[in-house]
Amino acid sequence: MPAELDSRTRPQLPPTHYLDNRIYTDPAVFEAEKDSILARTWRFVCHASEIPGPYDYRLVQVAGHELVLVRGKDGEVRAFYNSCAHRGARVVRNTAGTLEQGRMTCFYHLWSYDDEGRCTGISRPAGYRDTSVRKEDTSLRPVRVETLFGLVFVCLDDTACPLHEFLGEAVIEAMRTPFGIADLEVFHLHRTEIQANWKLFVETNYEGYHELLHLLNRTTGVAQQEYQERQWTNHQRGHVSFDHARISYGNLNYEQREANMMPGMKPNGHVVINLFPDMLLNCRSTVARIDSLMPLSPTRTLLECRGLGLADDTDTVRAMRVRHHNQVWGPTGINLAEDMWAVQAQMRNMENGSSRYSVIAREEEGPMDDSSLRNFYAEWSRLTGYKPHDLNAEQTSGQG
Amino acid sequence: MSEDIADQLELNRLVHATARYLDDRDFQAYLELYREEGSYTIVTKAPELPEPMVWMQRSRAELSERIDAMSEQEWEIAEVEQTRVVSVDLVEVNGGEANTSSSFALYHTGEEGLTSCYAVGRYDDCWEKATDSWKLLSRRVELKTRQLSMLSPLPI
Repeated sequence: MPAELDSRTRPQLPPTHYLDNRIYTDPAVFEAEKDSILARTWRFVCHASEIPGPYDYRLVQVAGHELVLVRGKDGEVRAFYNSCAHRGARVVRNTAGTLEQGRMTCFYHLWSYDDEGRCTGISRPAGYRDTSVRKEDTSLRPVRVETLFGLVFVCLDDTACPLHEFLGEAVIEAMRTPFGIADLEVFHLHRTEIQANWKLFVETNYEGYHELLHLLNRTTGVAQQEYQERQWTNHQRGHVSFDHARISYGNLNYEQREANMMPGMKPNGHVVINLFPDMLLNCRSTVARIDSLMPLSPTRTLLECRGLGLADDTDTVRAMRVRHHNQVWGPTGINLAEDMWAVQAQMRNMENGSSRYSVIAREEEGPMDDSSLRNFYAEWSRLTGYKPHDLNAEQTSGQG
Repeated sequence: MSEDIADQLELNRLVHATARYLDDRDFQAYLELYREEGSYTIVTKAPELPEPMVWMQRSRAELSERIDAMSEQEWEIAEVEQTRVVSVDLVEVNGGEANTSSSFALYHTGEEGLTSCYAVGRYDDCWEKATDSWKLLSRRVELKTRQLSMLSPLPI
């Protein structure tokens, strides 16, 4: 006789309090997520400091599409599908750089575009004399771009609401510390492929009790009363923020984070803000981290991690921020490896069907509450039309 | 054999010893190849950023302390057979100091016996002769591989 809760039997819980694990493995769900979430919501793509000057560009990937971000001579950041209007070849082929003479020229038939995506040259135009093809009517296909506190977002959906409405005033206010007070600069960027569904990694930043996994968090945070008094705030559209925490770095013989703090941060503090669907912001007093995800398939995800300091850091202060960043985060830090390891262990059992259901049923005051995860899945369900507790339930028409 | 050639052979042997000790998880022997004030750095350059990134920078003592303090999970994550293939292409001896430069490839073999290349890059080493033996003053690991499939604080 199986127990009532054994990962394969449907839990006797309210539908909001458990998940059908096929949401992590089903190819049809993944396709629906691409169409209704990844291609329809505002997605973080880079920090303004990565394209600081006129004609600087970056290639980025959104929902499987390659976009080119260009800072124009007017200082505006614009985004375009990186696809020539002529025959579809990739126009820009280097990951990052500065446009030569302010032009993007397709290598194949030499059609060229300016920093605003307008076609500036069609090779041998006389051949189109008797057609409607004219450079004045040709451009790279633009994509919506908005920048908030130096964070560059794009949205592939021309009908989606503006970024400010998508985030809401409360989230924007939460992001102000530390992102909106002074100019920041990215000093660290790395990617790693996680052998797991993208949502599993997002969840590591959406709930507070997996911190018991981390030696760092167990030793420097979880045991303190003040740490336990923090609350999640569940915002509209699946965004969440976490109260400021105080960390006792000395418990692990780490340096205190009390000097040269990021603007607005408290000494030895830690804040968390998660933007639906997949942007995870952390700041530990002296250094900020931004994670974003590129889901590749139901079971593979590319994680992109950035470390940020202040744009006007001295060399000494920047070295301190890099040191603090690398102690906790980055490829050699103490926490990221453990998060990846954890979600890959989950994925293995979900993929082979050993684990059919997950429980997100904690209801309590404080950081161990699961309401933040339930907030995420309410929005996920609204956009995809799927019931996250039961994939067999009739799919409604998602609003994404 | 001239002293210079003897030094070159010895330094070549020592670079390979660093790889062998790391493969064998003999971190004590590895750290003993460093001077007390020795340092270890991992750097890499991404096209998106103007400056190279520092992914790890530790003194010998800090490296030793970090390895000693690794959590159970960190050891389990890093529990994979490692094989380094090193090619020393530069040995410059200048009195009691020397520089070596080597390319390396680090392979991982999992429990199921599957091998994959984990990372490639260069070791740029500065050595100092103390009494009769060469010791590492600094190792700078320049990683070409930036997408690492396993993350760990252990030296590469």
